[in-house]
Amino acid sequence: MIVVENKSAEDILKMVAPYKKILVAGCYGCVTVCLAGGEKEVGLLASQIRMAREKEGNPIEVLEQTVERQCDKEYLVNFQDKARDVEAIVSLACGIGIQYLAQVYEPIPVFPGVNTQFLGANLDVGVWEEYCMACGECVLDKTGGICPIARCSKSLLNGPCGGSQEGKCEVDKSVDCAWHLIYDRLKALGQLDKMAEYIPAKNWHRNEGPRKLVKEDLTLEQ
Amino acid sequence: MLQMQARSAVIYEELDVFPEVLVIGCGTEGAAAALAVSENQPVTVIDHDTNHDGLSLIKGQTNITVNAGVKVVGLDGFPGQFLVSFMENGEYTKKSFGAIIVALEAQSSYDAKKYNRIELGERILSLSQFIKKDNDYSRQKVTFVLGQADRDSISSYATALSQAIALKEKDADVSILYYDMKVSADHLEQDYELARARGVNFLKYEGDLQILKTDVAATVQYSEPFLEETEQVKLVSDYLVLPEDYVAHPGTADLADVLDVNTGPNGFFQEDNVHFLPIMSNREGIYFIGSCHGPIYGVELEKEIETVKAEVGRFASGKTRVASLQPQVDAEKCAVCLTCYRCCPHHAIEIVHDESLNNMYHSAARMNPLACRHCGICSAECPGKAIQLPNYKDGQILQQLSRPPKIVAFACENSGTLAAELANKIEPELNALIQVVPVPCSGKIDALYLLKALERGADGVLLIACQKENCKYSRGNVRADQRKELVRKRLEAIGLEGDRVDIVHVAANQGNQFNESIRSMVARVNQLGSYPGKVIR
Amino acid sequence: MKRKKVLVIGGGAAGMTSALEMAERGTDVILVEKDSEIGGRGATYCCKATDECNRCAACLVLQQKDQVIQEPNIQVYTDCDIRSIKEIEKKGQRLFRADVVMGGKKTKFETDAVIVATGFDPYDLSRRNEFSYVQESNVITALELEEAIKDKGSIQAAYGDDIKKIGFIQCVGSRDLSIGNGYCSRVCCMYAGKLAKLIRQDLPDAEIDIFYMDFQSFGKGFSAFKETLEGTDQVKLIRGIPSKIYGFPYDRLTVRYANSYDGKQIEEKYDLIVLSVAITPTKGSQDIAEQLGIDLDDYGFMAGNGNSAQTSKQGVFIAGVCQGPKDIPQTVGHAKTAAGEAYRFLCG
Repeated sequence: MIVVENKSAEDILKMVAPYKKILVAGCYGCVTVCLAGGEKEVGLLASQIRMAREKEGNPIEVLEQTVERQCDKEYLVNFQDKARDVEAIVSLACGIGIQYLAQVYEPIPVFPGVNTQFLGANLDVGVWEEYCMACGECVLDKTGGICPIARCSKSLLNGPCGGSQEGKCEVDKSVDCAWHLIYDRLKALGQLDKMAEYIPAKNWHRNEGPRKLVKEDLTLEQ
Repeated sequence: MLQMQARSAVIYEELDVFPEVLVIGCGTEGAAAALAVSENQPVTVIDHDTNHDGLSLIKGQTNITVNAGVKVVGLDGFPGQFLVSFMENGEYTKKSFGAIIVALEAQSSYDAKKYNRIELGERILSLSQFIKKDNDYSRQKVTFVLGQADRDSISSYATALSQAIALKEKDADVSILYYDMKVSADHLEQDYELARARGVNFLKYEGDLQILKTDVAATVQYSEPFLEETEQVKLVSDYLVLPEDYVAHPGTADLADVLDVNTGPNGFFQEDNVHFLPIMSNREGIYFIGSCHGPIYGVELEKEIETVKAEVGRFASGKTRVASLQPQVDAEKCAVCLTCYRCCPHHAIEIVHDESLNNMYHSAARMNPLACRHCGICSAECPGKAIQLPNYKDGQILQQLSRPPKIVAFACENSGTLAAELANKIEPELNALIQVVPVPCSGKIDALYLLKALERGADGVLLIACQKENCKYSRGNVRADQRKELVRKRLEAIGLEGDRVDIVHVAANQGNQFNESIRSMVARVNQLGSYPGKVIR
Repeated sequence: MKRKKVLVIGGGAAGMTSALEMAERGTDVILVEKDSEIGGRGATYCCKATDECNRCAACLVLQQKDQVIQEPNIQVYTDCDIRSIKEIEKKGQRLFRADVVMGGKKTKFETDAVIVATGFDPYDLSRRNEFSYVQESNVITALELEEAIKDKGSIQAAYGDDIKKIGFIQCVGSRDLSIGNGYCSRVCCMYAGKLAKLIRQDLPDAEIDIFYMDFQSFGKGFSAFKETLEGTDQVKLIRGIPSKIYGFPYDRLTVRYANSYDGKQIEEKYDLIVLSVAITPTKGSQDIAEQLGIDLDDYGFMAGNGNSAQTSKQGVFIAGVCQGPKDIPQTVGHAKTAAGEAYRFLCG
């Protein structure tokens, strides 16, 4: 799941300062699951914006709507009645949804209501942890199912670095050392020999620009 | 006078349930429970551990199945239809039950530290060793030392008294050393009287007490408060009997985890909350009896068993009647995020998959009518606003806030609204300043309600919750406290006063305290002035 | 099946619990209460929470009261005096018939079963006046203190700001063979301790003493409760029950007691004395027991069959303190037993 965090009200209020009528747009996907952009958050933010503007003596009308997913244009269409009516939109979707919404509803300005953080697992109510960095070249088979890129503070492919103590990372004592976890897991799996296997350095250079995935055999237009 | 105030019509449904009851624990407590319950419905008893003290009581009884060497490893389903997974001889098996009774007995544990580090031996016995030992104590001198261990219960007092009376029959010379003679249970005062009448010596001690060990006799040395300028008194006996402490069964935490029930002080089952009575757990259909929730005296155990027998009796006929008051989920809005599932204090929620459910997952949360206690915590937690509690839907609550007065008080119906009724009788003039919005639990108070109350014109908002550690639904008042913090932060983030939102903990009988909290909130908002964030004026 | 009907006598914690449990199972309930309101004694108790709940359970009673009023299967009759109650036969069916008077009007109820939940009477202090309860207004019972704190909000609001020394006297009428009460009332040490803690919060400088015989503590963590009572809360536990209370000097009280260790007589001045009076059987319930043919125990409490709530009379069940002293959770538990057994009886 994509994990996001709500932007501060102050930032959002600055963004919408010039407008008198806006839409707060929620998404029932990842951002609902991570308790930051579902119908409830839409309500809370909308109420906050209204009250802040009342206090400044500069009232604003705030519409509210949440759709299934903001990363699919078929769902984005559902905003059209309300979008037609407003001067700006604050989206509580992840960075993907915000951009896609902006693209579909050009020229209405679309602002981010959240900071998209990472791809993570929901460990408990209100607790998320980064598990994947979408590096595009998965090594989990070699590391006992624990990603050193996402979970090692130094993203070391051939760890450990030697700085960990009692299983905790030297960069941040509250973080488990990923390579300690990998060692324990490989040991439990009887695959400790994999610790010795050298993983070649990853090419982080992205000269081809944003990544794009096209599956020719699945596309509709040949 | 006939008093009536009809509740809005409630629909009842009749559900099929399994009459059979599972008793976990095969000690004497579990066996006694099984025997009692089996009068009404079938019972399976498993040992879960190595305690088989109760086996002889229930072997061969009709309506009772005994399964030894079996451990509970998993639990699915809901009251009336629990599906329990067992580990039996290295293999997994599953069986359905209507209800579960936990009777994992506490273990007695002699703590030498409580008796100046004296070790047990031939002449110094723990109370349970003494009971088990088949010695002939005739004309022996036996002394019981009470009040050093087992200080939260009366069971060692009860046992010592009955043992002392029995010893007197054998012409033993019996002394009981005590600090407070605990007799607060049925028949105990009579036992105390009888023991005195039979000539048991009752000796009061104070302060430190020393146990001295000699080869031929056991001696206890203590301060006798009635003797002036006391030298320490030495009491020499043939046998000294020392009660043990009771510690929770070592499997308690694991079993609590499997059953998803709460534990409380000293690692025993059951949280320390009056709403759970002696026998209830945080889940419907799962009960505790006996020492699994703390040391217990025999008569109390028997009463608990009778109560549990009556409770599980609901399922005896294979059908049960239940009010359809559980929250309803709008599948279109349900993101299947598991928040409600994780927040439910009663384990009443499951995620169901059904093609007819109108969302991309064809899945949604569903509240089980037998397990749900209608607190509404789930609906307040739902990030998609997909869950609505009958009679307390968001629309119904927000509708009450069309033109709020100075203060809006969202009040738990277990405390706040009842206190408000008393409060109104005491100081009716405050009534004009407040609007009380009833909720079934303070955990139902959505952060959105708080903001909406202010947005629509209130100057201050109160959450009226039950006293700490007294939430009928375990944690609702804790969640309410968190929501207050959340809303305060949201207000402060936009430059408004967080103090306009506050939580007060009152009980149903605290009308004065209710008024006090209203008055203090009124004073606070009067000082702050009219709320500048009002959108509806 | 025709809906069955049960008569519940008494609208306190036990009666309300039984009524709710029966109603939930689909039985029609007639709940009769002699007072003008249901709730019983429990509804007059105060909350003893300090910073957190102190587990007195008084709040449960008001919650139940609210539930009973809202429950359509329960008909509540208040100001209702039972004149006679007996088993009758009607069309081949055994029924119980209660003739009652309400607001001067006579009426009758016929039901299939009866749950007796008549609670208790506090020990009659006029029988024993060495504590000057009858003449001194600042000698009160713990029940009166509970109600005053509940109604007024605090001890100062109820008894003035000027309280410097308060004494609780335990076992007034309990554990007393001289009056035939050879039993412990079970709840008094706990509530006195909790009230003392509560008062300490309101009166940080007052002296608070508890005169007791044996401190009857039980329950989760209660030994720790007693330690904080004597430690942080500075409540003095004095072993020994005073022999006499005199109403002087003006507005104050002189309490005479013996130091239980050296036997020396001590007299001390108090502003308020609270008597923890015994739980005793109600007079009315003994009449009812007689008419229904229920056995009584040595002290006049109603006797069940072993620990069950079934009495020696088929179809008659007992719930709560009418069976013997209980705290509120125990009362509720016992009433659940009574309802479960009554329901099984009705199902045949």
